[in-house]
Amino acid sequence: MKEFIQNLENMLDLPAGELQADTRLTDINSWDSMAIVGFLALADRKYGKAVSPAAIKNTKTISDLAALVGQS
Amino acid sequence: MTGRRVLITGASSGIGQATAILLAELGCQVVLVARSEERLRVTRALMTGNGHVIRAFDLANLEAIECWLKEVVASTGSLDGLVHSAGIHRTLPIRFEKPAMDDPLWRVNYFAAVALVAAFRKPTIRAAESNIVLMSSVMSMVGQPGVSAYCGSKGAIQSFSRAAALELAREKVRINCVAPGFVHAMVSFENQNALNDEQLKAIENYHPLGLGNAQDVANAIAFLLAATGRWITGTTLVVDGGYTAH
Repeated sequence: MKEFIQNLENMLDLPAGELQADTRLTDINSWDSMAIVGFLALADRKYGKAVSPAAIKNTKTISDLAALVGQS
Repeated sequence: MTGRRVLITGASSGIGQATAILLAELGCQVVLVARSEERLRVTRALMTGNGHVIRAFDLANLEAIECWLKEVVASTGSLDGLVHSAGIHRTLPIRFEKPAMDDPLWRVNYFAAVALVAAFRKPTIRAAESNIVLMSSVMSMVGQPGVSAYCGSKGAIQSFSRAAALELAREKVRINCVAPGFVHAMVSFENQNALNDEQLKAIENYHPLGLGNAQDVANAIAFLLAATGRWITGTTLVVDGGYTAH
């Protein structure tokens, strides 16, 4: 989970420690459609998971995202 | 542009060198990039002002660009601008072209631009407001026999810059292209390589205003980089003596 969060912080240009497992996606300023596309690319390249955009709709927190790529 | 810091690739010759010299006159600190450190020293000796640094680097080394740029900025401080003037020209009929992912022309002309932009846009690399100028060419808009790969790469740069402009506007990063016609520096290159005097004269005659100088293009780059380009992004400034007006 720690590494997943670090990868997400890098992707969103956020300082280390900004995100926690229970951070709500709606509380992240830069969590927009571009960020979602970026997350799908991250899921594929770093974790080898093909996550569908539809699956993102049901996510509310960082740990929900982590679960999509088998990280918890 | 006093106090602004701009990184220029291809700074060892031609348009890149002319741009470095002009930006120095305008008060910039310039990070000079090319493969040859020796030739960059020659450029620096022609520049006024202080604080210009040399960073020799081969942009064909795409995978290393992000790390390299981080290291550069760690010692120079963040960048206000980026000019990608490094490029490879090739005259080769299509029948001899062998498309390959490791083609140096595509690596330097196009993929390096993408890698530079992707690295430059990071908040730790660029200033709060920054901008990028990529080198396209009139050869992106009109064709010429024997330069299909070069034309392709310069067209790709323009299309890329439009998408990048929309994507990066929210990050206060402007990005534009310049599309030069034939400048004297380019003509001497062609003279040595592929075209005879008659062919070169025909090219010159096709420019209503004659051939340009590297300085003419540097002027356009400076215009886009400075506050004069404040409201300009996602466009290509054609600087060609009228070549593409035909």
